[in-house]
Amino acid sequence: MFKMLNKKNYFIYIIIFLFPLYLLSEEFVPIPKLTGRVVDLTNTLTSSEIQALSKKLENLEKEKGSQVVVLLIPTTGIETIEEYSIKVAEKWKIGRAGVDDGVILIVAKDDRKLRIEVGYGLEGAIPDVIAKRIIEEIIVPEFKKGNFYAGIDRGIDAIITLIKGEELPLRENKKDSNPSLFLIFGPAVASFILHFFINTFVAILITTLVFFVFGVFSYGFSLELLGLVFIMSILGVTWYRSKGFGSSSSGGRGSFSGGFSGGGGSFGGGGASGSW
Amino acid sequence: MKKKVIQFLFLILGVFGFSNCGYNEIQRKDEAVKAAWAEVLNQYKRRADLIPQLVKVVEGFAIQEREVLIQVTEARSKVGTIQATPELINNPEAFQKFQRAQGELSSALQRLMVVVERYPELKSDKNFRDLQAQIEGTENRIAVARRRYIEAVQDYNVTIRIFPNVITARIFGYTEKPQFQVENPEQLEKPPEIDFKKK
Repeated sequence: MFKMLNKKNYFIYIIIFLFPLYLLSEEFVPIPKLTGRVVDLTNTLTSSEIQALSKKLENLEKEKGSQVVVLLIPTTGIETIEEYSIKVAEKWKIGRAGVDDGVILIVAKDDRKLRIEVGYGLEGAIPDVIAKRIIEEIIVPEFKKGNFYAGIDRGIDAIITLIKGEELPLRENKKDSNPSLFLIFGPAVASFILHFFINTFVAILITTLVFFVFGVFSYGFSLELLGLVFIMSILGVTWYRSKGFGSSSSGGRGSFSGGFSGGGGSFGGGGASGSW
Repeated sequence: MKKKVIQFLFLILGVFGFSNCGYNEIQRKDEAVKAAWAEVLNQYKRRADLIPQLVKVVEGFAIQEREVLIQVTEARSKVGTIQATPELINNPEAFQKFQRAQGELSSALQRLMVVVERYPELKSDKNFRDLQAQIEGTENRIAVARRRYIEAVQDYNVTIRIFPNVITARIFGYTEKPQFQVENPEQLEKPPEIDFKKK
């Protein structure tokens, strides 16, 4: 048994063990990062074309709140474009949460396949039949001529027109305050103030309970929440005791980089596919 | 004062203990399975609703394909006889029966779509193309709904089997939910028949 494990065999074992990894990397195409409203991994579109499309899609979001994105990839690997596209949709979460008004136009260039993936909330505005017609009557004729930008641009125009005709909940301005920051630093500050007036133990308990109840209302019951609130209210007291009134640092707020991200919309496999 | 503090601590411990037995988790995941199942049923129903229209359109162009059309119609009516209720997931036997009937309908539909390729006029008919897009869309939604159901059931089944939860599940009578299998195993076993003569 041990004799078999000579140097030559090691090599074979290593290959055998690594082979499945190789297969994985070859056949399952990873979901690309959402770097903007137009993600082109095939270098088909020029940067000014990408900008023009992005601008158009940005204006749509400003006006209606709906998010539409375009993805161009070389291939979807062993998966069909439908299987791949729903995975992209589940990861990117295009569209507003609850309204689910996202659309993804995905083009697999070397497979010569494309798909319009429609979020739950837009299945009425863009039924499968209409999505299919946009693909076959607007996009595919251009793609056949090799005019990728024209096809995508006109397809996007059609989608935008449909979305604009749909009554969707008004776009609300994103609240800037982060409620979780309140739950993290609130207990510390509250217990810190309270413990000057009452017993330290009671101060911790009261702040824990009060903030826990607050948290349950907005996030639902969870042990992590209770733990967090409890620990933070203890910290509020002990931190002062160990350090005294020193520098009080303000909580760093996660800064928005101005980039684009999905709003939490969900998809159920609506839309249509085609090829050229 | 101290006594009250201790009582308070016990209260918190009690809440801790209760949520640790997994009851809430089981509730949440049970509900997730139900929702996923409702979506599966919804999409299957949508497909069943489309079939009579499809059969009608195909008949207009390809009445010769009576055999396939009859198969589709029969499979469709068989699906209709099984009561597709949310409670189906609590009855593994009925669940299998339901699944088998849907599988038969899927393969009958597939055969129809293959046959249709031989009729260029039918393929360019506007009504047919619209129906085809709807059927394709529904099949895709079924696939998505089935996958989400499978994931939800997996999650739920593991939850009620791991340690403290298993006791809670027994006490409250939560049992494993049935899982989907390959839609039509018989079809996978036999190789596809290719008829070269017909071409």
